[in-house]
Amino acid sequence: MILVLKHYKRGNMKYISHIDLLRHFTRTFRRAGFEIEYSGGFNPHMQVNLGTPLPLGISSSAEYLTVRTDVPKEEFLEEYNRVAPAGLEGIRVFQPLTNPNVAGRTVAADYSVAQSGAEEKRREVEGVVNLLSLPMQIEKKGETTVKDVAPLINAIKVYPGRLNVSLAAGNVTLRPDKFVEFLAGKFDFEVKTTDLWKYEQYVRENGVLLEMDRFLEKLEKSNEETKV
Amino acid sequence: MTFEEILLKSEKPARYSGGEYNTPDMEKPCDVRFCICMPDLYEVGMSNLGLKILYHVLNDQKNVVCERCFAPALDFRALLKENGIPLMSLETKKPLKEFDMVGFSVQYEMLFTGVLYVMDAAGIPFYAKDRGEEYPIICGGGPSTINPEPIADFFDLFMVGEGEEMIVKLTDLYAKCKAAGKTKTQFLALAEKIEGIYVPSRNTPKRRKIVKKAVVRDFEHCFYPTAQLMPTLEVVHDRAMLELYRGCQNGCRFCQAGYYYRPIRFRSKNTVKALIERLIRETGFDEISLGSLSTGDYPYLEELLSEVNPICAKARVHLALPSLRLSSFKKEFAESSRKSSLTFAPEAGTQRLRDVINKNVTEEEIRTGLSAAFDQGYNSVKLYFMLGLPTETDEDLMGIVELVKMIRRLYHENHKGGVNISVSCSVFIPKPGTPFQWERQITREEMSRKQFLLKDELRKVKGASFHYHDRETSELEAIFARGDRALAPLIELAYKKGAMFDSWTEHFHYEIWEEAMAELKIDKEKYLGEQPLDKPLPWEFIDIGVTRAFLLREREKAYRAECTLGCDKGCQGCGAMALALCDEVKKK
Ligand code: SF4
Repeated sequence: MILVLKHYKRGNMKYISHIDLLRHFTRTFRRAGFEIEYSGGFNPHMQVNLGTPLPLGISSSAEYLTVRTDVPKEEFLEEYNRVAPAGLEGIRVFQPLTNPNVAGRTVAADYSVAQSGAEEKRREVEGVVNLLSLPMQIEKKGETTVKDVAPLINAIKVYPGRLNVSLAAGNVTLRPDKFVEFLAGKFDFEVKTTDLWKYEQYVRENGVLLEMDRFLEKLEKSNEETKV
Repeated sequence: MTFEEILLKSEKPARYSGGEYNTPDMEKPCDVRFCICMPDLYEVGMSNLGLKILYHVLNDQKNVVCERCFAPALDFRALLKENGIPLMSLETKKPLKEFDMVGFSVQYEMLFTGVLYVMDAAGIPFYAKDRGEEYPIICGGGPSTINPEPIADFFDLFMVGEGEEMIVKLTDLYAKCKAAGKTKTQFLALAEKIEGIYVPSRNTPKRRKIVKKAVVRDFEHCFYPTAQLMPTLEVVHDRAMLELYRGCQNGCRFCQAGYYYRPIRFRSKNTVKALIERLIRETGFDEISLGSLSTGDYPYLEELLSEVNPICAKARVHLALPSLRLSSFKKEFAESSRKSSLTFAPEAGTQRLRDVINKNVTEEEIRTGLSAAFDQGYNSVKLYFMLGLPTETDEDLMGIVELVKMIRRLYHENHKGGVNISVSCSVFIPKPGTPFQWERQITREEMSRKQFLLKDELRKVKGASFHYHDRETSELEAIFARGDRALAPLIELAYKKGAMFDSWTEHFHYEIWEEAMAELKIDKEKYLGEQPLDKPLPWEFIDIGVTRAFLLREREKAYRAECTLGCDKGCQGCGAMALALCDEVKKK
């Protein structure tokens, strides 16, 4: 059967790269004594499907990984948490009837970053969401390109001390750390990217965004292929 | 910038963040704060079994908290410097300077500059004499303490030999001295009385006292951590390591480890099995390496494998058997190993030279072993040799070529397709504690001539490839290996001129060393040439158990190309038994 583990990535674990993360999970599952399905072939490996990669340094309370195993759902969470590294604690386990393909289906995520000075400019900052075009410089491997990021922004909200943004994530991604730094530069306020959290992620269903948890809950009840 | 911001700017923040699974309690009240420091990158340091053993041994003490620190990569070092932050421990981010004791694990000579690099980043003066009461006690340990003289002036004390029991005696003493308000000098005077502890300021070339290497007498019951620290990022040896035994019965005459780790003490099959089961549960590693100097010589290997193979298969854990002798290559072992390439080390090309170095492997054994391996489906062989061995001639080098040709023929007798034979040649380095400790090292010109001769000959053999060690590194290693206290200023000067991370070829600049030697008027020939028999060598105050008389006897036998049997055929009287009984001897 398929289990999806919703977990944190926080504390020291936020510095772990996507590849190294996989190693932490396979080791934790072995410590827990779980029998997880392996791939076939010449060099079999434990099949753990991670969600969309999170850039280094960003914390999260909404990460999802998928495995096939016969360990009962309740036992899975308890035993996992008994031997999990600090920072990768499990939050909840789902038992969808079909493979949810979390990484492939994810289209957006919500983030929150500590800020100071954005309250006074709330109108302009939040107004960015209505812009039809927003050119942003993006640096990748030493090269700078300009990209129109307007289509990648779903929401921007300023709260006392925090700035929350909802951005494209998945196959098309806008890096939240770069984006909030860009906003801070544009409107002259401060953000603290060492305090940047991801707290929600979404799939698109019938044209609207649906929280990953709701989506997985639905898959637990019915294996009807949901429309994308 | 805050520390966290610096972390995010560095190449690999996880190297410095800490927070590994199985980290012991860092908050407990304690009398001694110890920091184990490996002057190399996290990925290398966290691959070291000795470091993990000592780390957990110390944290297992009621009154000690032990943390870690590794050498920062150059990018992180620059960030620390820019922001005026001293090097800190991984666990609680405490500056190294504020610890009671800092213990450097010096694995080999090329890390000497690494020690200074770390001290520099931590704001600790290099020389022991320049450090007052406010600085931690700087301790050294690890295999290179067989001759600590080149770095002696930098350290307050060395732990010579096996650390797991000695280090506890040391921290106990420290706690007592601290409670009694004793000074550093008073502490060092008392520390010197512990077996294995060497205090360079109180034990000088002019006034020598013998330092006896510490050994664990009851290896079967000695501390071994199964709930060991799990590295946060991929490290060089990313697996659990478990020693089957300590010491080595073979007595290869060039091999320092073979003599240094004597006496021979085995872990029983049942203990090893129990430890493997716990390692699987407590670490979750997918590979356990059963290490020892010559794993195939472990007398209970076959029984052990038949019992643990099913356990490992169920948990999907791979058992690695490094350092198998070709003669112990058996079907069962091959199956439990998933390597596609077979590695072994004849070390010399002719039987004569193999007899000189007492590498007890014959061409017949090589044939049988390799035939078996080829039948198993191996089609790739890696061979290790040493160039510049005592009494070596060109005939011996041609022997390497002949051996390679023989292997190729052997493969084609029964198998189709091509076979890859990779030949790797290091340069012989005369090492302290071996029968060859008095020998000369060949010059760089000789090295180059021999290397090119082999290269030309091997080029003509289809399927063969040739790799050889860097000549400059080999020379510097030899200088340090047999160095004395005159080398400390050289290490300091070279470091100041920019020599660091010498163990990484891309950072190694021999010009710096040559320049520094010239400035300090250090004659390298003193260290590279043949050493006199009639004077004690700079390191001979360290008693490793194996006696001078035995080493001299072995040296004579080497010149006569006479072999010495392994200890499994009977005790050869090397002297190590005086430290603890060898299991081979107990049996008889
Ligand atoms: S004392 Fe004897 S048995 Fe022990 S290592 Fe030396 S030669 Fe071998």
